[in-house]
Amino acid sequence: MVGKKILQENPVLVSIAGLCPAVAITTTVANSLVLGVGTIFVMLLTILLSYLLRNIIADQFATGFHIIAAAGFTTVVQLVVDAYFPEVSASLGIFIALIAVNCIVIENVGFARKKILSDALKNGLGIGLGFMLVLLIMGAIREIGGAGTFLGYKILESGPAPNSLLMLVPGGLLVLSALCAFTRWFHLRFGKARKGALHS
Amino acid sequence: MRDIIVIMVSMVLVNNLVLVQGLGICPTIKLSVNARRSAALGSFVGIGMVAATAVTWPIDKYLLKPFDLEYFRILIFVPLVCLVGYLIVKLVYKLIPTFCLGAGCLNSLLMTNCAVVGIALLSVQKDYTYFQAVMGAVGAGVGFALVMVLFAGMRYRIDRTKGIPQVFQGIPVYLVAAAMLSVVLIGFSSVAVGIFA
Repeated sequence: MVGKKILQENPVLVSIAGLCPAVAITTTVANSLVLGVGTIFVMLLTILLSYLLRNIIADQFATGFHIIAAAGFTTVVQLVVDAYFPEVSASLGIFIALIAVNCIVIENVGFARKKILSDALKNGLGIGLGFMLVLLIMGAIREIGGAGTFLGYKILESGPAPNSLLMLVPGGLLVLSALCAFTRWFHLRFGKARKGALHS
Repeated sequence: MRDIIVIMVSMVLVNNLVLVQGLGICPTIKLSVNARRSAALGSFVGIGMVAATAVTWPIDKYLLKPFDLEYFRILIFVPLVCLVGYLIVKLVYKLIPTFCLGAGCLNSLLMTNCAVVGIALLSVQKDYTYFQAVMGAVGAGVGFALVMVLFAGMRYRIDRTKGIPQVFQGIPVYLVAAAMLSVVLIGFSSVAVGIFA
């Protein structure tokens, strides 16, 4: 189930959700890693809390409660990243705070109230890992192409000059577009050709 | 007065939230279907940005900063901005009952939009006065609506273009179009520096 969520129902490439962090800050692999792990952490803990308090919180307040809980766990992530990875925190800026309003988190937490806990956690983990995978791929492409480094280490002594457009938002949009088209090609070529499951 | 103009122009063009800073790309790509609707949605988001900044700036200035509680910003701002967005959604449905958009569309646009929360967080990080912060939010809202309308126009043309490869139809080619628009807006940075320097 987790693997299916990662590949066939990938939140970014197939459902087109959570584009803002994917486009804006995947300029280095370190950024992608911290943001991906932070998102998974916030999502799983919010699902857990929502499950534990499902009988106390009324249905009409559920979304509000999820937002407050996600904001609380995002504060934890912000403080940890500030303390241990100050340079990553500086380059991520407000995007750590925006984990709390990430569409992916808010949309998938709602399941915890209806399903059994293990299913909700597996769903959250699959969605989160799929999100992190896309972030890491984009981060690798943009860091290698835009700065010529990988996780801060220089990989090419000589070769083509780095293209700084890749480090800006247009570069992110182009890389995401290519990944999106590649996923679609992959599904059409090797999948069960379920066109309805792909984005319309 | 001059600083207000500089802040507004830079928020509309040079630091455009959607295409230069990368906030709120999902609603722009998904919801800008035609120009009229995009203008309406964009202006609602603009109103949301102004209201969010107007509410959160005093809280930060008079409640969080004097007591060194800046690390509570996320926990206080995010639910507050969602509440403001919720009230605006209710108000829109009350005032314009015919403005039917399909379930939840306006909710996701105003309540959990990165751009609305983002402008509230950005304007307290810079040392703006209250008036400057609110006018910056007005500029950001105008920039958001501008991008949505421009993008709806591009989408109209793209949807009527033949010869796009099958795998690129739909979202991937919209993303390429957004990248082109983004390059155009980044080009304004040097122009604005020349005018206001």
